[in-house]
Amino acid sequence: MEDEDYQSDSYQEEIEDPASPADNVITNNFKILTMEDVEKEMNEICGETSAILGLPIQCCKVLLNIFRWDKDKLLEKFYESESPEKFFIAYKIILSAENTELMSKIGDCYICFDKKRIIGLSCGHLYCNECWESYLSTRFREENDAFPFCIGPDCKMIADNVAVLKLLSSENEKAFYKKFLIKTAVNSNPHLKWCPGQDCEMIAKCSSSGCQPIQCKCGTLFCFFCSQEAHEPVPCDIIKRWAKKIEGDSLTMKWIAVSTKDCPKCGIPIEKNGGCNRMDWNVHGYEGANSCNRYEPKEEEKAESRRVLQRYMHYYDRFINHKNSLKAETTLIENINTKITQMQNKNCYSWIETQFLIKALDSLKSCRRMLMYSYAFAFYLPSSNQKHIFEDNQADLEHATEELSGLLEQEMDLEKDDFNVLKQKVQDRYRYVDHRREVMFKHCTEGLEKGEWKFITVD
Amino acid sequence: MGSYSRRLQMELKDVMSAKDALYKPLAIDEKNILHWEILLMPNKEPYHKGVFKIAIDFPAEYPFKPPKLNFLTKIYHPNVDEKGNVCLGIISPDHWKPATRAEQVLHCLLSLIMEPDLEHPLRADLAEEYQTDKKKFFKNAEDYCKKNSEKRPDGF
Repeated sequence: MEDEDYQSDSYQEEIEDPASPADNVITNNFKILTMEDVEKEMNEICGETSAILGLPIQCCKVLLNIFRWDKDKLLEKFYESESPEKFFIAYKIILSAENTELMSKIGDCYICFDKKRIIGLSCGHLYCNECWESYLSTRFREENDAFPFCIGPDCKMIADNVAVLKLLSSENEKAFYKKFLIKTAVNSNPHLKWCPGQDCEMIAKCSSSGCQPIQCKCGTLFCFFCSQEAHEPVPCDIIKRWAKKIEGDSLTMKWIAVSTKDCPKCGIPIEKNGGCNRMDWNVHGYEGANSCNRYEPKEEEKAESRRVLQRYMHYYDRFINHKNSLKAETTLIENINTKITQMQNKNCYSWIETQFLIKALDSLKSCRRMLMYSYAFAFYLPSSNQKHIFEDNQADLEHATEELSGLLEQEMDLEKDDFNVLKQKVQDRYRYVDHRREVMFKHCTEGLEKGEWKFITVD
Repeated sequence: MGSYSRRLQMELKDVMSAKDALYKPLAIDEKNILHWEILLMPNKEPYHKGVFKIAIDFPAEYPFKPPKLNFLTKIYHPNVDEKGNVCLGIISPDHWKPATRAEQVLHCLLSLIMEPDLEHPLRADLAEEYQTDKKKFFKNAEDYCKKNSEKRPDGF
């Protein structure tokens, strides 16, 4: 193959690379939106609903909020009722009359006892501007209430967003309220979730509302359902138990690791006596004839708890190891970028020729993350054939991941032929590793869908 | 936020001048108008012989935030806990309306005392006793009144 052909072929490959990391594990049914995007979408849905129901847009906003932005459900329930009036009565919704002008006159405000201009909704409960603003501010700033009731005693008329903006006087409060409305729309819609990234105000929109990884534009990778760090292939409830467990048990682990040592004969943990590191095996009976084998219930218990502990440590150690590797590999990007720049400058490789390294690193991180969580998954599985298959997959993935890791840490200051060899190696590696990850992922998720995985219930 | 002064002054005037047989406000310090103490005198069994001192504390944001109530006198009642806290819907932050007056709150409280709410008790044990053995409950409540109550003021 001529150099030219090779280059153009590889260019094609880069574009069509089927093993594009992060693609086959993170499914593409989500979108990242800004608050403005959400506001726009919210208003669009309100507009559509308004056209169908023949109600003012601000009314629809209140209704949609109540129905958690499920337009279809709202329409269904609306048309189920014999009449709009019956619908509003059934859902205890009292909205201001169509005419959106506020009532207004000069009179006594019976909240602050001033005589001045008093205003109100069509229910006729009139109070002054300041009192309305103080009341509404308290409702949306402190009681999370976007559509408060009328300020009047026992009045259940709902102030929609147009009414609220008319009743407020300060620009500050109006601006706060507008932002609050968007926040309310996100919070009441199960298909929208805030990115948990620090200082990030982006919102993920997902067609499902369940457990799935989301990659935000700010770089945060999180689970849509529980907002924790994305934890494939483990279900949300299992990962919650695991997180709690490792937080609680870590101190006990440390004490045991530091303060005890196993009897070389029977494995029972023996507390070290004083500062002396020489274990007095005689006391325990190692030298003695039968002491180790004698059935002593207390020792049995110790042995059992030692077994439980060792089992936990097996998974915990590996979980932590992979976690640490992931941390290290996340900073590897700097190193890789330096190598790339070096290669482009010194050895005159083109940008696109070196991008395989970025892809490889992405693959590596994805696999590392999956390996880490696979130990949490395995901890909660009792022994079974399924688990055996799982662990085979795990071993394979682990091996392939470590190889890829090794390759990426190598020197890349190479001449063309050696470079191409390395490139081929790396590409083969990351494609293989992506494939293994996909296999493990499928095995887990299909099993979960069919309810085939039985998790232990004791923590 | 509006100032609470004028509003509280008006409310205080109303409460002081109200000729209600069921409560009597104690002298309130003008310098600390946010703290009121009132004597409650329910006229229904088993509390009809008792006098209960309560504290009403108004927040600085009044009337946009509700006042808080506390029983300074111990009372044997399913809706009042051992620390004197009472749960009254009308003054919960979620339901509170700024047009609600202290007088209304007092009437609500008296209603609750005389007609316990057994669906949402703060003391499940007392609620249970009330439902299973009302006679025993009444006896216990009256005894408790005798031991802990304030003295009835003149004219009541």
